[in-house]
Amino acid sequence: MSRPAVNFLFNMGLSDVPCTNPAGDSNYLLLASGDYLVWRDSQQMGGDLLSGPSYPTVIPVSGSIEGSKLFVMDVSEGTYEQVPLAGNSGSSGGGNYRYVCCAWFGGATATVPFLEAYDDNTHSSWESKPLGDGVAANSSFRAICTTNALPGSASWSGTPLAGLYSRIELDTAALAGTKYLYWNMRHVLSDWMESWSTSDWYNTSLVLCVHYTYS
Amino acid sequence: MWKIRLVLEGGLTHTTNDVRSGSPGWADCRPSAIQRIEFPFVGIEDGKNVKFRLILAGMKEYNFFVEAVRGIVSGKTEIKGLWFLGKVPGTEKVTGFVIRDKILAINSIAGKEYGGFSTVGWKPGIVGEKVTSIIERSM
Repeated sequence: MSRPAVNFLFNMGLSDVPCTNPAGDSNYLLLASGDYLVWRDSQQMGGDLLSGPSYPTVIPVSGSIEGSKLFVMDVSEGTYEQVPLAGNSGSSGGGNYRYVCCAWFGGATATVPFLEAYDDNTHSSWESKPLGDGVAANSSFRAICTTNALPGSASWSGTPLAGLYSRIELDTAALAGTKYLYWNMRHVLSDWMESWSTSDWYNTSLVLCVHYTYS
Repeated sequence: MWKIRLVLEGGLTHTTNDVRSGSPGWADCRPSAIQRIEFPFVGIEDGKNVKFRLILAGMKEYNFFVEAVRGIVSGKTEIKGLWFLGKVPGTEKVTGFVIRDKILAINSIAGKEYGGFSTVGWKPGIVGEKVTSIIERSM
């Protein structure tokens, strides 16, 4: 049980199918060094150039809405690549979909792996505005584990992601060997976010990570 | 330093690989029974480096694992903690320590020892020895 290799892949297709290759396949894009994840308005299209116009998500006048589209900013290709099945039915294309975001583990673990969100790459705090400003329930990022089943509803809610105590398990037990783990995720925008400062909105330090163990 | 010393049945010893490496070696060893495990490390106390030694002995079973995080975008893996656990004979109790930037004592019930979750990789101990779960200064 040496430290397992871990690859992150995202389904760029419209078919809700599992990943077949840890290096990527006809549906799944392997996240490469320098790539980013970003939510954009519905006007942004897959294949748009990163150097071209960007269409940011919009805060609702009242209540909450879902960020329309999740993209991988593919730096090597210079394009936005959409993850069309991401999110629930409130997004552009999301819904009751299982095979959307993937972490491939190349070996066993000593405990169940978790998906978590932190303020930055020290993975030690979760106090920023997008992660709930100290109240995990207000985190704008929600995820649901789909390794073993569909979300169950097109309007799935998900668990707010904020640090060590508001996270999702990516399976039901420690991994016995190589395995693909899956989740779906969404970005919730609420009217009260209007009070945020520009630096809160353009926070590029936020990180998603998997928390795991080996021996 | 950074290696776990296992004192086995009959007084034999086994030393793991560097636990900071990608292959600590705990999962690969198959002892018939462990009498005690020792882990020497350096901590900082009052701004000075101080040598310590973690000792677990007399446990029904032992476990060790490295806790790590891997950033989805950064692709970098960071070690967050080193877990040393023992099941106390005759009870459902799990005791031990987590070494992070500080040291945390673990007192849990079996099956809930990792933040409420179970762990795998337990190895047999020798029941009947004095039950010990301490961190002491070492020379």
